Amino acid sequence: MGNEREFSRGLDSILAGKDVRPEELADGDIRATLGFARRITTLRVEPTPEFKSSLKARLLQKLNEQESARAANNGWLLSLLQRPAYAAVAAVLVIAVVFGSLWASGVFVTTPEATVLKVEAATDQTTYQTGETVRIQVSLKNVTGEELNFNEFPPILSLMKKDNNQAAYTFAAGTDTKSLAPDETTTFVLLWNQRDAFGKQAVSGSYYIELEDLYYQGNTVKLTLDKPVEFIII
Amino acid sequence: MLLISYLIMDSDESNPDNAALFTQLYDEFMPKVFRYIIYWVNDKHTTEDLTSAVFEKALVKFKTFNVAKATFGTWIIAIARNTVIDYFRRNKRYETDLDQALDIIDGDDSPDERIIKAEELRKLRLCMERLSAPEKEIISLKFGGELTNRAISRELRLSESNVGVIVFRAVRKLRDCIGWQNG
Repeated sequence: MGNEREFSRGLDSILAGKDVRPEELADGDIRATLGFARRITTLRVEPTPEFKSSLKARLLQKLNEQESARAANNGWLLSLLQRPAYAAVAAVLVIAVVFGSLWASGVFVTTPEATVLKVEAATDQTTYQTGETVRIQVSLKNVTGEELNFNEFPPILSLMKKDNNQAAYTFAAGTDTKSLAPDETTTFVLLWNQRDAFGKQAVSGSYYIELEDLYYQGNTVKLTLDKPVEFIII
Repeated sequence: MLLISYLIMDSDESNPDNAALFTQLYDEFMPKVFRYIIYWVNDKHTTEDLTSAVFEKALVKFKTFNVAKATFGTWIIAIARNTVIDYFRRNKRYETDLDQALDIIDGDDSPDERIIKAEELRKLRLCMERLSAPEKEIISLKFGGELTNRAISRELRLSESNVGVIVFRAVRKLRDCIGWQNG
């Protein structure tokens, strides 16, 4: 493990453009590998100056158009807010609303450190033939006494290979907003065709399910499965 | 600093600093996005198209960028990664044209140097194709996107030490592969 750490430090220095002398390292394997890593960096392909400048010009023009459109939409409000008296009133109102919302949300009383969601998952089978669709059902139950609102729902879910703990496939987070009343349960289903992000069939072996955290009121809500879910591809 | 800059860009539509901030981020990260993509598609024109698509998406999605969750570099490379995945899904192919190596080498090198570099690049790409998908992914994130091991570990949901081990072993594999070819 020490070798990899020394190599990583050296590589990060090379990528940061620092003067690294692999030839001064004692370990021959790291010396040669780091020297080769430096060689790879000299072979990296750079965008042409023409492409750089033409894309930049195009994007700046788009940025301009976006801002003009927004400014046109908000123009009347902005011009009002630019008057000192209105601006002061608006600032007081914003502070009152923010403070009131925080108070109402209970953020001054408790922090949602305790269990927020009860998470259960299951696959429709425990063993799958190669290529067979894996059906994963996940349910989340609000175990707090207040309504919860999550963005980016459903959460990120990864299918992890058990022997190396690497993700064989990751379902991206959804873009929905989800509200859950106290004691309410929501369920979603994902289907996995046993292929990785590049369309390659996953190898046979044991897999388990892992869920990424959700965000709620600026805090991370850990999605820990009540019981681990595993399945096998044969 | 980036958070402050982001708030300025998000909140004040008429702020002339928006263009300056955008230019600063573009100049720093566009080459990284380009280099990351070209590791996968090996074609200059496709890489240019996909790089353009990444920054156009970034311009539209900038409001969703959350500095508490990721740095701008990690965020933009994540968009690049998804763009590449979408590209391969759409095109239903996963092969690369290795003969384009000479075409994608530009710059100030002499013709002889270009030929040598192109040959080395061709060998490197051949050897890259022999890496596993996760190894290739990590090498392109490291050498193309210039992400730290920690950022890669978050993006790929691996431990940081695991990423370090994979980078080291993958570079060693490439070294051995090219050494074997030269020998």
